[in-house]
Amino acid sequence: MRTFLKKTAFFSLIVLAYFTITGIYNYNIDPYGILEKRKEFPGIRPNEHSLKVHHILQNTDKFNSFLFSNSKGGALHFNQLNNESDRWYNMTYSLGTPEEFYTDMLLFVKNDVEVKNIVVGLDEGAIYERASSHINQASRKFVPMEEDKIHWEYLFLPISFKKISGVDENKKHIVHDIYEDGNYYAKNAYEDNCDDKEEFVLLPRPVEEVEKQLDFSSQIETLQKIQNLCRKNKINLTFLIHPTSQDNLKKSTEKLVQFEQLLISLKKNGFDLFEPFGNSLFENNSCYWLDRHHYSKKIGDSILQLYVDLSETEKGELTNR
Amino acid sequence: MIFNSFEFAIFLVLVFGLYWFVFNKNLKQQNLFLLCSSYIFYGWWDYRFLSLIILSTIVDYFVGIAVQKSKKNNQRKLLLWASITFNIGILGFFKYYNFFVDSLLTSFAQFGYEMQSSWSLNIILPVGISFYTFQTMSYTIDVYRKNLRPTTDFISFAAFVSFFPQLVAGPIERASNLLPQILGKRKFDYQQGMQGLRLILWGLVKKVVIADVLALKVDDIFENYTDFGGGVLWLGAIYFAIQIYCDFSGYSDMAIGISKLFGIELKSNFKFPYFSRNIGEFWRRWHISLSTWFRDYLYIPLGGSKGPKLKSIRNVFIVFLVSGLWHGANWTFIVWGGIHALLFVPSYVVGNNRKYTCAIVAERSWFPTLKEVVQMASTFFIVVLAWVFFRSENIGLAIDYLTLMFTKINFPPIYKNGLYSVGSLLFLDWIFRKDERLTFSFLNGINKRIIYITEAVIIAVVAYLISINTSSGQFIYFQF
Repeated sequence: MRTFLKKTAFFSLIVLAYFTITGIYNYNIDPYGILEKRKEFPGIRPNEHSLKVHHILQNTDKFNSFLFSNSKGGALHFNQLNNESDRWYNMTYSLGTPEEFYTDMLLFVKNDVEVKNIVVGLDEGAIYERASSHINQASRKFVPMEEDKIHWEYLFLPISFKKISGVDENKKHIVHDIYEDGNYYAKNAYEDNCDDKEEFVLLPRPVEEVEKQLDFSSQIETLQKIQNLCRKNKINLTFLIHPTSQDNLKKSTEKLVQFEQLLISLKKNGFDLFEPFGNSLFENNSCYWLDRHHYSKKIGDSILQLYVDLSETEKGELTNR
Repeated sequence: MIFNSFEFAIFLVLVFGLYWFVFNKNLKQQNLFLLCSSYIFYGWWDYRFLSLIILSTIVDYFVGIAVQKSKKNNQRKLLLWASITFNIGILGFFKYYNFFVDSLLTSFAQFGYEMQSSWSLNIILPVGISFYTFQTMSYTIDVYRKNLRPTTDFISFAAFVSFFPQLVAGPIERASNLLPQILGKRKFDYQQGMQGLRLILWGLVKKVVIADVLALKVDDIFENYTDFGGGVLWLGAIYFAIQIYCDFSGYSDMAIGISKLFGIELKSNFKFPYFSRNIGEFWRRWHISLSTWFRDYLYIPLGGSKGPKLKSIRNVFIVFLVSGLWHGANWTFIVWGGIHALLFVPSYVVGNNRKYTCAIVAERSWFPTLKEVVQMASTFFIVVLAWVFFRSENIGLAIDYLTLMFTKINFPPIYKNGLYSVGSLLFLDWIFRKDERLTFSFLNGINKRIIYITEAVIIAVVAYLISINTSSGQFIYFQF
């Protein structure tokens, strides 16, 4: 028994040491922001989903207009459209899905957040990204952040050296704002040699054959739920279709072809979609793209302009059909 | 309390300490302590259902003694049937009542008699009810058959029925194995204790690192199966095969390991079933305690393989169908059992169902022969297909899923990592197929200090792997 206890104690000490180290690390660094030790996120991506929802629920009167999207919407700074009646907040987060957006909207309505406008950004992730796969992802799963609850699982998550602030020099310039406007700020979104007034170079999208169309019933159902919720609560709703790059089409042809089919199905089902650049592609250009998926603020700003140009009547039509 | 929870870790340390250091002087006290600990463990879910275990214990304790005392055959038979009726009665009521009512109403509706389902009740299924009722029934049947003398030590008998490591998800222990160990003095054994710890660790990895991670993928694929191509659906079915194996055998490993810490040996419940060469071998390696229970207490009483072939085949079907129903109150489980019966019968008819009764495949070599590879692959293939019924919510969905598996030929390259993970898991299982997880024989002959360091590294890696998974789930077999 003695030898057994000695050996067990030795192994327990290893386990204890391991969890002590991860506990201290996570408590101090708080890479996901869930332990509420970290308020600023330069070069580190927190669990934006939980933090943003939590922030809105804590400040129910601060904002009344919301952009829901995956990270592509990060450079859409809707707060530039703020006026006396509209106060925008950017709810975007990495790989967000319409299913999650709907759940968050329900939570807003349930908690008396006054909502006037909602924009839901869509891309191929609406088909291929699943809310269920986020349950196990510390950076994406929704964590209800009640004040009296300790999130042990975040305390004992494995140490991620990449997450330690400042280690990843390439991303140090990126700032995920949570407590002001929810936007994503990246230094390379403002390339010095990019002319803001220069016309966009748009390319026609080649026609791709569809081998077998997927079944979109679950996606359509989710979007219908969003539509019904907005109708019921008199919220102006716009489904924004994110533009895509030539490079992205080349590398994810199958996904984009299926997304195109989803859009066709949505239109057939009576959805009105806001497609700022129609079916055109943006060429690969550092003034347009931060990377293959994320467009720059230059494109973001022009989308905002087109959104403003939509007359109130058109917005209403997009919403209430 | 589930094994992969923080409260269980505290519970285990406390019970272990008190069991060996406070109550070890007196066997009666030690058994009473074991009983109380088991009741606390079970009552943690819902203390109200403790009454069912206690009732089942009392009934079978007294029936056992009465059967032994009784000299008249009719009286003995009556007592036996009283015990069976009671145990099947509570199992039937809590687990199958709504299923039978709903099935009855559905069949009436098919003949045009629409009836209100006001007979359905809002019944909670008590955790582990299928396991402990089967355990107590086997005790009474063994006493009736004079294979076992009933105990007059109520506390020990109650501790046997409710022994916490195997109470809620097996292995379903026979009184002939477990009761003598509870009635006899236990002595702590270092080797046994170390093996116990290794099994707990191994089971924890299977459950938390493999089964729980796969569960997310499986749920996604099965819930949205129409969104995917056939290749992904195949992957989903294979994932489920591995998930349920790791979930259930992981629990069994932990149960056996925890028992070892208390100086008690439980029977093995899984012996690398996915390396079986035919369905017969699969069932000798999968959920062994249940399949042997049905063999001894259902198949043999029905006549077994004696008598006309047709009658034997009927017996096989009954066993498999009842085994399917045991897993849950849903037609999908019955169909799953039926499919296994259909797969088993051909080899049964030609008489090679007992061909591979002993050693694991490639016992003495690293690699199987080509013939064995083909046999294992084909057995795995049909087992995977049958799992689709087990996992699906209803038969219609299962048929749809299977149809798409074969007709929607498509496998997006983004899922190729899934194939690698399946390959790695099967490879890992293959390495340990001679049950070397208990002995770590690869460490033999190495310097003791290096062994310590190796084991320490293994522990740290396991802690790391477990901490990666932030959402630990319930064990699938708790619902059965």
